[in-house]
Amino acid sequence: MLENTDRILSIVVSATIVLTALVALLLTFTYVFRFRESRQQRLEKELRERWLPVLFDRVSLKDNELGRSPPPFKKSERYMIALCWIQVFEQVRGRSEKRLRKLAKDIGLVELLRRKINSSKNLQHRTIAIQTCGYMRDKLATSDLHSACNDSHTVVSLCALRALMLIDSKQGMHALTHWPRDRYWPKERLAVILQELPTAEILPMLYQAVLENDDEFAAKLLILVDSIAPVTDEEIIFQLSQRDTLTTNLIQAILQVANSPLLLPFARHHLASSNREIRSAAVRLIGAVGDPEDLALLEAALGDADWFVRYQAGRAVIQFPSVDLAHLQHLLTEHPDRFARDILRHALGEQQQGVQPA
Amino acid sequence: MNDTNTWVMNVEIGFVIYFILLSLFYTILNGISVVSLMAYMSRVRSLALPKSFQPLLPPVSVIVPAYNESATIVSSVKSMLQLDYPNLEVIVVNDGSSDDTLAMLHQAFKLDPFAEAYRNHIPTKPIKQIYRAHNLPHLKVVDKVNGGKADALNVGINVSQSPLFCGVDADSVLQRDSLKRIIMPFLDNPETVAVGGSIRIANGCQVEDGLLRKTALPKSWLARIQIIEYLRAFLFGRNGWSPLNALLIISGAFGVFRRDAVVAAGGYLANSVGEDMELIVRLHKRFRLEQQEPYRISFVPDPVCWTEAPEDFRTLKNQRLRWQRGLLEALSAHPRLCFHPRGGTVSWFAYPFMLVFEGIGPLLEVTGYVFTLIMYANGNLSGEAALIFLAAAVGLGMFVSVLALVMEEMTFRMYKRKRAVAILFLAAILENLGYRQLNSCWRLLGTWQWLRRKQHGWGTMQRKGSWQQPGTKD
Repeated sequence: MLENTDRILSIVVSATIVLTALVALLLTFTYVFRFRESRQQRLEKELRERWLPVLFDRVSLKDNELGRSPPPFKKSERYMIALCWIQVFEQVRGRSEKRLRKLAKDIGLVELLRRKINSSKNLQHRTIAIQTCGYMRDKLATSDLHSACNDSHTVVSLCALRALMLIDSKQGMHALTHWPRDRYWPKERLAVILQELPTAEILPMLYQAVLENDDEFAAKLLILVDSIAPVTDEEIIFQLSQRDTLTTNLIQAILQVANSPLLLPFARHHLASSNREIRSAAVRLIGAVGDPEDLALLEAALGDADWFVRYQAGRAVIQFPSVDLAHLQHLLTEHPDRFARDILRHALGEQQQGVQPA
Repeated sequence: MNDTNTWVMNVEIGFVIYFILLSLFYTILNGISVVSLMAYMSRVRSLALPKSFQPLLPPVSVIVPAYNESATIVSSVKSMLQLDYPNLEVIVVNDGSSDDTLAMLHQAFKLDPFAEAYRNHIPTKPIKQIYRAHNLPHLKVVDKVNGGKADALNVGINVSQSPLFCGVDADSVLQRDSLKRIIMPFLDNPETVAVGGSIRIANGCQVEDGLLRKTALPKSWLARIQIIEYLRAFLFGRNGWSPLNALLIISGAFGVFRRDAVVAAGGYLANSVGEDMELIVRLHKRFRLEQQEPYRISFVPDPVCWTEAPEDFRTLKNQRLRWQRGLLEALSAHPRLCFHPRGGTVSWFAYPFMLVFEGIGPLLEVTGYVFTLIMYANGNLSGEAALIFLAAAVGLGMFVSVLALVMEEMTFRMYKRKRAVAILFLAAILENLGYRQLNSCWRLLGTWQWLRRKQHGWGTMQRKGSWQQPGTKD
């Protein structure tokens, strides 16, 4: 019995020791991790305190002033310095940009970072290197940036595309218009990148690319064009609409971005489409630029099977130039379709409240 | 006697194997989760891209089902309206509340009746009236006949005009950038149909006018232990399943869905207590077995939504009974998904895991404890065997809980004070000494209630709301 108790006790003690040791180990690990993190943060803070005055000094210098000389730094500190440099660089324009570029060149920051664009395993380091090269307009980095555009990390590839655009918009546009078909680049992010560039410079290239590419890609590019500036080149849109075969996405994109009466026959034709997005976009275009006789089409669309098409038609009818209050009242009470009356009432209520459609 | 002892020993070994397997699976999930979390953190840190192009962000409808929430509804809606998102529509669905929830909304937001032409894609209980706020045209309030949370969410989906909708609990508090963060998987991958957000416990934190101002630990140990549970569930559980595209649950407290996918799937299952999990399981089944289309159900580990945890045993018990019934309801509704040849990771890993370790698990755990105690008391089981069982059941549980805490420390570190970390370590230990066993008993009771198919309501959630401050400064 005693022997048994001893064995139980020894198991209890061993289990407790093992468990306590394990938990203590994890607790120690956590505190060590915290300690390392706070040490790192302290070092970063010190580095910022050393470098930010130098960087801001360059920003506020007059042309003939030299400013304080940059402090010496270790190779391992380059990313942090580059990050400070990027943060300051993004706040300034004009001469200050030039002076910051000169400073980065003097301390050899670009040379240190350029080779890390594709070789570093750290994602953050790579993006810092890419951004620095982009802001530095470093032409020597273009081939590295081209290969980074094909990187499997979307963040890296988009950063590289942006840097390429900044260095040389032609090369950047080339990378964009030869965008690998299996790669998903969200249009929201591409739109921001394109918006940073002079519209007059990139729009002709984008229009050209729209015409030269297949339907699917042209549709994507068309939406991008529209996100940068309202599509004004009616001829190109019209040319696109005249292609022999058009995919659903391209038809939708054309109707979505067009603002020209040239496209009215195209829109009228696609009011009968089986795709609700196409019908909805056609209704929008007819509502925006339609002839008085198109009102009948819009009134018919009020009874469409799809809610979004009805909604679009409701808004279009209300805003249609030849529609007056009496006609609206007539539609609200006499339209044979109950759903049409409902959606019209809904759209009217929203218009009175100043709601813009999503 | 010898035969009995051998039999008892074999059963005991079975229980130990169960606990070891449970911990092993959790550790594997932990491993996957660590890798995915590290990748996520690295991606977030290096997201030095220009900010998302605001007008191109997809419109989102935030649906807030409310039933007798008069105490918190106004501050919750204010919190939703303050979300930093360009194309936002907030739909509050008053599910036939018997208190003055609707009156509070009327008073706070000056509602006017609106002739809304909504769609009836999903059949629901009748809508009495739809209102829009006088000065806030993007706030809609739907007053409907009581039909439960799932029905209220379905009404919200019918009324919503956006391609994406976000289901939020009326007592939850979101961070201002919650929507922007949770929407990212939809932008990065067009196949995404649903994204879940990480939920954290708001007890002890300071919330002012619906916005989280300060994070701190609650005073109650029960709430502290639940912090560990939530960390384990979200940082490891869901974050581990997400890279495998086998996430079986997105919390009803905060999740974003593609409207068309949910409508096509038939919306939330009315009269269900586990409507959030059931919908996700159904979406998996639909995309994997029926449509066989590529899709993604993702999880964003950032702590984006804060909710109140029960601080009394009665409310906690009700909550856990409901969760267990919901889990079993969701799994039993789609048995075809289990070990289906086309089901992939969901059929071969997630579903069986949930069924064995979460569905039947409480039964095995409680039986294991009771069996060990009785057999040890009768002398059929040696002290060593009983201790080995306890070490497997309790010790490994502690290990997994502490690991979750370490992971939180390495990533989001929401609780800044070192003392808070020490307290949470203690909570991770204490959780396995009594709380977990009690929880297993409640879950077993939940299983029993589910087996009896007795209709149980939502139970009463005793909310303290002490963390909600109406605009007072620190």
